[in-house]
Amino acid sequence: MLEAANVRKKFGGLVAVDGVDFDIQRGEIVGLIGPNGAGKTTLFNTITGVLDPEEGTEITFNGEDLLALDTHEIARSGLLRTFQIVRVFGEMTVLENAVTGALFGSGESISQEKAERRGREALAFVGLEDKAETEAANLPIAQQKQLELARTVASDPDLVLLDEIASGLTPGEIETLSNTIRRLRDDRNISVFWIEHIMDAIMGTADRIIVLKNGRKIAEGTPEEIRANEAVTEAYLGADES
Amino acid sequence: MNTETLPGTRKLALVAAVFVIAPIPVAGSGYYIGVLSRILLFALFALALNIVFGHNDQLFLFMGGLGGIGAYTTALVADTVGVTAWLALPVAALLCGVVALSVSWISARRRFTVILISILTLNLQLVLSEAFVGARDLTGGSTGFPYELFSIEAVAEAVGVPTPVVLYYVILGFLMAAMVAYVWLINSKYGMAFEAIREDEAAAESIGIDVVRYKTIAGFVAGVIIGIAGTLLAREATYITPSIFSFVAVDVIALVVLIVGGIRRTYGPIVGAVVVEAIEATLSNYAANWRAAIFGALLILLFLYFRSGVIVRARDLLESRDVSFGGGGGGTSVETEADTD
Repeated sequence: MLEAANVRKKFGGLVAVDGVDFDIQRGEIVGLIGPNGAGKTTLFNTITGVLDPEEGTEITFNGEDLLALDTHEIARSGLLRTFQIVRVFGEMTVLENAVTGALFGSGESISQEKAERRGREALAFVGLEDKAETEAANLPIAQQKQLELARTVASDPDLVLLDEIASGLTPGEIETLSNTIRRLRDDRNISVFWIEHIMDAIMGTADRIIVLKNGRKIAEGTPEEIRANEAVTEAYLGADES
Repeated sequence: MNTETLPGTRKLALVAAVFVIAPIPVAGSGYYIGVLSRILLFALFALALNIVFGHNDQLFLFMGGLGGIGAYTTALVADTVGVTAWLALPVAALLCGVVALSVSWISARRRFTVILISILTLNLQLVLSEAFVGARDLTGGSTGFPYELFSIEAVAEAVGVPTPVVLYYVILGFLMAAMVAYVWLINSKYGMAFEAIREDEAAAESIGIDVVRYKTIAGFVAGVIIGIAGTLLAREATYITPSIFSFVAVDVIALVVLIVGGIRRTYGPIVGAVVVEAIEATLSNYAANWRAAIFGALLILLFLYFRSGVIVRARDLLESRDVSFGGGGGGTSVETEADTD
């Protein structure tokens, strides 16, 4: 459903993403890993239209050319994201946060009642239903991350991009989150493209993993294949990497 | 987010009733009717500013200029086309809406921050002030011309009340209509988009909110209201000159009114206008020459210490006194509300 060819993005002289090809199939959970500075978040920002890539880049989603769309249009086409540093609307209630996703992200015009119903449903999906009236800023970080996920779920997307959603969580919280991510696909038919540094979380959940280093794809395969891949081990443990 | 529903409607009706009754004790005094009318006018300006700045982070500092465009356009259209000002006003208001919309659209497209928008619009204000003086053929320059549109004299004569009283009720009608529109807007999908954009533009875009579109809509709505307010301001003065649309005469006052009353509060503009006009009326007796300086100083103080509005702040102080006398932690929830800026 998401197909990308020759994705390139430069910041001045620095090539952050250097000719990456990949695709995400419907029903897949795909992990994106790599050392710091590998270009993972830049790749997400390029897909979602936050950054304009270099000439020659091709990204299509369900057959639609994403480079021709603005960020909000990409969201409405069914491709939503969460952020590395959590970005909920802190002064709104938890329910209002979820409702914004339903109201604006679904690409269709829906009534406020329907949006609220979908918002509640999304909160129940991530297990925040009893926090509906809490001000979002007052939630602990782990729950803010769940809320960010609920906000994307409320819009009924085809694909969500998760940017280090497990970082800073306790092992118990990561377990719950991994289950939620599996249920995204199994119960909701939402595909997942997931940047993560916490290897246990992603290795145990993803169907396929893409590894970036210095803006290039150095490996791709099942979690077992990636674990056994020497280039990947070197990228993470190599002397020249911090 | 606001949660005004039916009780909100009742509150609005009550406020309207107070303003309907307000002129009765002072109907004989042209001066007090003037003060009351100015309260309504600046509540109207501040309401527009609340939408575009309070809810949308676009600090419009050309409200005077925009109001002037509204006032001059109403008079010119009425005069050249030969129609009643009641038909010319919508044209003028629409023009102001389009001017404001253009500013918002450009600012949103180019991702101007609140500071940049305020610098841009302040420049526009200075240009417009000069233009009103310079375009003598249209505006009569700094001499101006009498502004007695809307056939208000005829109504006043027919009903048998002074003209300023009739005008007061006309302004009240516009203010209440704007209040109803505001409450509806803020509780609609638009209000939710405004809130999301104000809190986090990138997150708002990421969930499908067209930031440029909503900012432009906010600019348009504010522009229309400011155009109407400017026209009524000239009508209240009964004589139009560029000086009534200056930065100090309109923008500074409207901004003080909004901050005093409390930004993003439904009744903030009205409360603020009452307080500010009361101060203004007092100053005009004792220190007319110091008016601009005093309001400037007031604005600085307000931004430093009262950003959440005088009401919230006063309530905080009262509650914290309660706490120190009686114990208990009642002040905290209000405190968090007061910290929003």
